[in-house]
Amino acid sequence: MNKRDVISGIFWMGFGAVFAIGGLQQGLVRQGIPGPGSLPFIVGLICVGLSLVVFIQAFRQRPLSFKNFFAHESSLPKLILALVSISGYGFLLKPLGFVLTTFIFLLFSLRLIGREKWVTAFVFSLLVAVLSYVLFTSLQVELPKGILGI
Amino acid sequence: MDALTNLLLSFQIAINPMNLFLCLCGCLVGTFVGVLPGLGPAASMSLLLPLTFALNPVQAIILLSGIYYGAMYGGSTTSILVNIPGEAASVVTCLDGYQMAKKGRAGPALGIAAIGSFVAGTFSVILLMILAPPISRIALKFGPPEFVSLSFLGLTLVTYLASGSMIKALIMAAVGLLLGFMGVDIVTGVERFTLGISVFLDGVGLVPLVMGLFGISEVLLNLEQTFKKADILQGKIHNIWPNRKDLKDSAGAITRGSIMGFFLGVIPGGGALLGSFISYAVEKKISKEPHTFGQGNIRGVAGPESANNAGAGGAFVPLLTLGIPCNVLMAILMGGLMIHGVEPGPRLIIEHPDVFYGVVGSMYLGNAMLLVINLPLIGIWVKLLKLRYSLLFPLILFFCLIGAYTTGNTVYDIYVMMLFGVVGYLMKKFEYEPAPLVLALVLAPIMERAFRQSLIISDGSPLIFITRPISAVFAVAAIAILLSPIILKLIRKERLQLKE
Repeated sequence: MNKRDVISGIFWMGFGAVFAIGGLQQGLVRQGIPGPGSLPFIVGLICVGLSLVVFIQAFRQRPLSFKNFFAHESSLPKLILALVSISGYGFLLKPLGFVLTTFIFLLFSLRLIGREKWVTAFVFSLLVAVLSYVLFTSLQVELPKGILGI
Repeated sequence: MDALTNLLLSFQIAINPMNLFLCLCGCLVGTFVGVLPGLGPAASMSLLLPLTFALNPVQAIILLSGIYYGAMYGGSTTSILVNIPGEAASVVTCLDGYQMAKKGRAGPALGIAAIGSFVAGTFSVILLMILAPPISRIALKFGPPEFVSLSFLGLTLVTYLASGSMIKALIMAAVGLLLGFMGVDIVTGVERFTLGISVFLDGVGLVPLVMGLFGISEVLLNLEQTFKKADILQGKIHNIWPNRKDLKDSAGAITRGSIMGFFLGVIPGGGALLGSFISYAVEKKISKEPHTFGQGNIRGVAGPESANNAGAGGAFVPLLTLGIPCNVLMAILMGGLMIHGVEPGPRLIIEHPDVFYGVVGSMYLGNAMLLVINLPLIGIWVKLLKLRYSLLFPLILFFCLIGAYTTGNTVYDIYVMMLFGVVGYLMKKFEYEPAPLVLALVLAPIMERAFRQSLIISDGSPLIFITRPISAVFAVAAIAILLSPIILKLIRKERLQLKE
């Protein structure tokens, strides 16, 4: 049994079902012409049907479990750190401003995820933050200013 | 006479200093991302999309298409020198290119790749210019039902040519359509599936989605691996120009690659990738010494490299004449044009001749520029390969973050991008392909409008898709493709039973 296909099949079935039901609520027909829910309903149903095929086929396939899902044991913490740094950037960008947020983001990813030396990480982050600020302002890209005013 | 006027028009547009500059920028960025493993053309084109808001549509498409064919060139460099394809269409170039490099013939391998790309690129632009106007004249007769069936056929072809399971590719196309339906309904103004979040009123943004699926997810997948230095060929590369024997050996392969590449590139889902694979297979088949393939046969570099560049040109045909994007990169171009208020389709050449001829003209010049960028500057590109990944990935993430933010000046797009980064990562692990999803997402609003218009024309009868002859041809072809795997299976079973 291919466990990965079982899971993904169920997931897309749910995904399609949400749109099919949503489409039904939006109205399939309005004043005799197809309404806003018509295509989401049809495509949602198709999605459910196709996912059902993946789900059923999964039981006859070569066994594939979630063992070795990550390439290394150390993968998961690294992935989580990367997602933390990305969402952190979104969270801090408005209050702290472009330059400071970029600097902190780069320092964090270089040091904690990339395992670069402190000095390298610090210099590299500072350089990229300043240079990109100069580049973007010269291209007239609007960036959030935050507490430092830059 | 007409063709000559058009050619002059295209050069006139391309030679404008600003356009020349943008074309050069596009080619440089394209080569850059083509060389860099880990940041592909899809992510970088969507990255630069917000920057094009300040430009006019002609300038925007010149810049973006420069990245597209620049990446096709650049991808071959890493394949030959490091055995890592910079982008998917250069995968087969690794086979013989890297072997040539190992035997000390990296120079001629790079040289023939650039020459083949140049010849094929130029050939495909000429064909594009000749073929596109008559095709759009035919397509002008299409009504909404024809467009629905044609888009349906396009999506089916893409899923059929997907490398993995066809059913999974079809699911991805359905998911893309569903995501494309999110936002305010164009016909009635009703909000659909917005989850009450204002950012979704315009639907799921193409830029954050593509950068998530192709940029962020790639970084996540690479981070899993332990960092190791790429095994770059040491020593200087000398003698870039292939000798007379090399050129004579490759001439046939370049010609065949150009022709096959172009026509396979026109097929939705074919793009540059299919052409390069088939060209390699053909060269090996017709060769008198097939055993030398995989051991550094120059034809194994010349053919596929020509094919992928010709395919890159071919892919413009359905986009600029029918409004059907063949691959993810064309989908991004289409999204970019639509942001500028230019809808690719049969009316494009009539309504926006400057856009069409601007692309054509800048492609002629871009191909020449790329020859200059690639051959003498090869040393710089090789140095770039030595940048270690622990320094590279924060930069890629940072570019994506800024790209996502600047699309709408909102941090929500950063979260949307991150979400699709995780989705893309999981899709890889669960063996789903992202390409059909992106294509469907871009086509969804146009398909939906045409679908509902068709049903209004027919008073609600879905038979309109099969009673109009052109639409019927498309629909029947699409259904035949969908059913072909099942039919083939049945035929095989029958034969087995007959044998027994």
